[in-house]
Amino acid sequence: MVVIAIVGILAVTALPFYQTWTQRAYGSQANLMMKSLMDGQIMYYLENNRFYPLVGEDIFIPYEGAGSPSPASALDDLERALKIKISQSQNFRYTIINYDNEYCGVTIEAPFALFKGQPRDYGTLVAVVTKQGEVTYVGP
Amino acid sequence: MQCKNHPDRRAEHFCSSCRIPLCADCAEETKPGEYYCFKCAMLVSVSAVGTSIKGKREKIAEHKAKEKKKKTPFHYFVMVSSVMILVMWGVILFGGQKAPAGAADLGNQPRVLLFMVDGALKRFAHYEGNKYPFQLVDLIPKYLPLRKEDISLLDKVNYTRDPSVGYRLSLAKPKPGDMNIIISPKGVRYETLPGGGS
Repeated sequence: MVVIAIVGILAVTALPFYQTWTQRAYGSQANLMMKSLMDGQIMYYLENNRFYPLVGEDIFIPYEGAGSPSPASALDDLERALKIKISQSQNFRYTIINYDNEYCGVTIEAPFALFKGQPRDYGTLVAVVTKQGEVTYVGP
Repeated sequence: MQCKNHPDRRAEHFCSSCRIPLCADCAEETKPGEYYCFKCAMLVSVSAVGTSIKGKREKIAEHKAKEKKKKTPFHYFVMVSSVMILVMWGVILFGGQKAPAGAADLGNQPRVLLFMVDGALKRFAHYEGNKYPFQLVDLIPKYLPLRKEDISLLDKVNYTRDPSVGYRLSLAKPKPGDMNIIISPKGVRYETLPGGGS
């Protein structure tokens, strides 16, 4: 009986433990990726006096298997412009929007919580960088 | 002094227990230098046997107690499982990834909220076939991860569907003197509000 009870408690604990563990792993990965994107945007602005991409040419990189990036050359262009390697994955999708070269908003989404307090099946990290180089992260 | 048992013989030792004088034949040397009369020697030997039996019993009892204390695989299973459960709950309760340091409070950063909502609208349009939602609440939770208690923040944003451009998004109550930002799929437009502005 005691063994069954213990195995039951272990099984019940394992699922939230796994979710927290993935949240921790992917949350920190999303943080790093966002930091690289923000640094890349600041560097790009300093060199070109504008953010990447051009105004109105928003970049959407969907999950792997859910379509191709828009525009099609977005991954290569990002690597060339911001000097960071982004690939399509089943864990993250990206949106990069240039607001009139005054602000640039980057959103990283995941099909699971990335941070504490986010719903179990949807996580997001949003950051906005201004042309003065101020980066604002949006809390979950 | 004469031997107690042999009055014709000279006593050479005393019984270590009852102190009677003993000749060399009567004195029993149990340990080197320790002599006893026959009776006392018997008593001492019986008592020694009793002590050794008692000692053996104590040893057996100790051994049994040790056996009882010895850990069985079940004990190890319980211990390891308990530690695992404690560690897992520790990770669940305190190990979640925290948001980046200095994350903005959307209530105090209406412009950031505006960009966040606009990003959600653009994602909605991109992934839902160039449609725009009827109201901003439709973006939650798939495109805009606002908690229930934060949904009221959407009141700070004006959203109208516009057939010519798609939609218009602006701050409902911009700070006096600030320029209002009007975002549409066509781009960003700035509008100077009454009361000045940069």
